[in-house]
Amino acid sequence: MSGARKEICVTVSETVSDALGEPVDALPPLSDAIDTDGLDAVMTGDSSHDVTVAFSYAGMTVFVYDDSTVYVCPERIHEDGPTDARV
Amino acid sequence: MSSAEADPLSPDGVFELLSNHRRRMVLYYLRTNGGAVDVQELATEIAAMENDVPADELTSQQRKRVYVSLYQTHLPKMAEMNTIEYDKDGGTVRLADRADDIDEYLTTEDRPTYPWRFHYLLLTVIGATALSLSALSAPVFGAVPLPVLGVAIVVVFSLSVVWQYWQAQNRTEPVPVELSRYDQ
Repeated sequence: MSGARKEICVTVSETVSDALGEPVDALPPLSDAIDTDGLDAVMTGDSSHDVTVAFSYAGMTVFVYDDSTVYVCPERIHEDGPTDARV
Repeated sequence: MSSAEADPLSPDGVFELLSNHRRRMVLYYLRTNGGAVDVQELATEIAAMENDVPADELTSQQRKRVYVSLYQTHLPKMAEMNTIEYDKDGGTVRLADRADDIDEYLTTEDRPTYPWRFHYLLLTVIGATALSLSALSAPVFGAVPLPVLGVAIVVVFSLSVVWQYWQAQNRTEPVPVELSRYDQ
């Protein structure tokens, strides 16, 4: 099934949860930080698209690339570029 | 939320809500089960429907992905639109008032319903005719005392009302098939 392709929101939540060392249940709803349907919609997985979405969530800056790669870093230091990378 | 009474769902809101298969499955599961449902249980059931395996054969990853997506995205959204009541502390959800707004956008099964309007119209005409004939001492009807006829008419009406009430109480609304359909 193609479910995995559509689960960018789950990947974001799990990545932030891992980065903060907190369970997913302890995070605020992702839907408060971004329109999650909209995020799903722009992350098409189509290689001819070049899309990056950045937003703030749970004190982190989250970068989502259209190959479904997710980077998170603490909000204060993200001018140094993404760190703590994880897919 | 105090706005629960206020705004009916807009058509855009309904279609937005229904545009995601997991939200449809949430509505389906809550509709078929009724009452408050544990979010963990809901995630397990939806993962089982999606993966088409019994709940006890799910991997923890399959279960967790559904749980996280419900917890982080779909349930807050549905609660915001007042279609579910989401008790975060208790970890339970139940259908809220506005969930009924969705029904009119879904197909309903054609079920034969008894034409109660005509039933009562007919009773009224028959009753009035019988009373008139009795009052005019017409043959046959004149032999029936007015009070007896009156009581008989009241009894027939009462039985009709009880029957109609019973029927409404026992009607089970079918869950629209669109809610459970999963095609991605």
